[in-house]
Amino acid sequence: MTTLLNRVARPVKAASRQAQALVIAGALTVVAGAPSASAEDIKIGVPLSLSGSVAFAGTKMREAMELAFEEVNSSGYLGANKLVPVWADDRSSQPQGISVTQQLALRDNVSAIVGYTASNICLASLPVAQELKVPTLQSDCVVPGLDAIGNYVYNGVRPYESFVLELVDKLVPAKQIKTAAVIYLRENPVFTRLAPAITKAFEKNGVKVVATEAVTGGGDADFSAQLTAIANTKPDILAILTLGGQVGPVMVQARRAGMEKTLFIGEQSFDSADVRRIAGPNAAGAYYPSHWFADSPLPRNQAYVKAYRAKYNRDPDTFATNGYNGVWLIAQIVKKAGSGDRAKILAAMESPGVYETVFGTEGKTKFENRMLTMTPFFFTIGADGKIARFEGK
Amino acid sequence: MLLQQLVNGIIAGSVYALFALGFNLVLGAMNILNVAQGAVFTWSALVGFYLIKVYGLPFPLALLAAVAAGGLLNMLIEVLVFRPLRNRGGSAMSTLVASIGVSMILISAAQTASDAQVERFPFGTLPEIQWSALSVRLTFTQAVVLVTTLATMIGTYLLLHRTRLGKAIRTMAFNERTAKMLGIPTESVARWTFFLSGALGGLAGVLLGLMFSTVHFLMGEPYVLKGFAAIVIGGFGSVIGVIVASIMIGLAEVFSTVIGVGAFRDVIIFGMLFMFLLFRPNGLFGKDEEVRP
Repeated sequence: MTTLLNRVARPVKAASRQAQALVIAGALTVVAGAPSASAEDIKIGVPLSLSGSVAFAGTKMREAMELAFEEVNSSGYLGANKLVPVWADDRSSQPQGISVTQQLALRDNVSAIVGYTASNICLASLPVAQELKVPTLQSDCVVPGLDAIGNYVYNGVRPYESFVLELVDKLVPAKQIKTAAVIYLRENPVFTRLAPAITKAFEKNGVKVVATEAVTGGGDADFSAQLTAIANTKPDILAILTLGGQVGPVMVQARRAGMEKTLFIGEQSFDSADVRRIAGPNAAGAYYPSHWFADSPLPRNQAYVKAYRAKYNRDPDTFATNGYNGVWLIAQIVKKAGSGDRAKILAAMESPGVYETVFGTEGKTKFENRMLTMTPFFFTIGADGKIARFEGK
Repeated sequence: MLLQQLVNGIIAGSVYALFALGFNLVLGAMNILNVAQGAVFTWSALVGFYLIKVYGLPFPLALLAAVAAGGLLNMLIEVLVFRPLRNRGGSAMSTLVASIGVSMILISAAQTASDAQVERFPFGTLPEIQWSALSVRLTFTQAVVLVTTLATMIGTYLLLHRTRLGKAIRTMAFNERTAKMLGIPTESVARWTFFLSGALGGLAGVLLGLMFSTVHFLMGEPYVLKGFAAIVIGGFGSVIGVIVASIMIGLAEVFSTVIGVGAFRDVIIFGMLFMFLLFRPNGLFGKDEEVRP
């Protein structure tokens, strides 16, 4: 209920802040006359999955992106220019994703797009952004192939497939794994691609894959039949390739089905305080890669985590961080471009450069083949629910 | 493993039965396919969750409150949406469309209230006990679900067949005009029918949320179609039929995984639904004369 009240109160407070800003801006205009020629409100389209099945991630992205937009504008990072977000909800649906991309490009005439939450929506929407020639930085989709869409589409994250496979290579010898099983969400391209890839990685390491089961998305929460079938094969490790909202329940039900000692391996969706909260002690023995973690000592990251905690009274997760990072990346690109002109923004994206991020150990990164370079970290969840770096031992 | 899967199928089917019974009550008595039942199911689970997590209510009290909330919410939907439509002579299509609208409003509200996040009932809401015998594992939570569901099914059957309200509901299911001529206060019966339906949906929501460690705003969605399939296969208006069909659906889902075609379990269930619609439209236990003219 507190959440509900906050949700109701937040837009009112935001509206109030906006009203104050408008009054101040209006007063300054009266005093100073017309705004200077260099001052520009640069509209940035922000399509996210704010309702529907992926809203658990999209709403967190929006929170962190609001924070980032506030930081960019209040810090004067772009001088007199301001980034003005134009939010759009793709409702976790591909047709709606295409529709909001068209609206942002044609109706709202945004200078650039940053956002998107789900990989299947990226697959449908990014070709539209390319066709409409809008510089676009997707900041959360990890399905392979997005780098090949075209010169207008850049990727603020990269596919997790290689990270997960690298983790398999480290984990199998370290934990002397002999058998593995896979459970995956059959409606999501990230997982339908990752399931055979991780199977091959296990087999390459001499691990026998004893069971593979598929689950459905939406509101489905009963995985008992699949997990009973898997538990019967007694795997040493279970790859859980589902969305974040399903990972916790899968872990709980796997333990109940008899996989008390089975290790878990997964990808980005494991990296959430919500997963650890829902799974509780059942998450112990889970391993996953991530390009970011809240305790990373990078000063930029520490400042971000502190600001997020202060604003939302909880820790950010990877989804939130991907969104936050996306906004700051687009801000750096716009700064290079010096204006909201699409052609100049594209030229800035295409020119080589080093970008500041909250990712990795150095925080500095660049685009290679329109995709951000990243170094993965590997983590494990302990019995106390705390995460620790996994170094392959 | 087969025995364990049998237990899994019966437990899943029994939760479907609770949901479908409520669905069936309104469809049978009022000729309304209340799609918003899925949203009522979700809201009850959320109410139960918040009462336990935020206010620390003991589980039995929270369960009762959540069930009552489901009933009241459904009653409110009847009073604010369906009754005005009925009074204006609205068709079955108009009530269906209205219920879809109500469902969308309630799901959006649930998303806002929960911040779109997946929640779970706190650890220790029920004792974390597990029994094992004959290679079958049964948790205390599953046992509670089974016993509660069984008791509710028997209670619903007795209510419909042994009480004045039940007889009134069944008379309305036969023909509303006849019920009026017999002096049955149809508006009051309609209200109570919706209350019972919502309470059953609410009970299913809390039990499912507890059993599968998940409470979120879309949790009711899959149950609407499965509930509808259970009604068609079981027979409109038949309590026994809906229970049998729900268990059949639960078992079909589980055994599709056992035989290695788990990815097609929805195809199997809705294939069954299609076959029944084609060859036995009154379902397993439905009778021609019980269909509203």
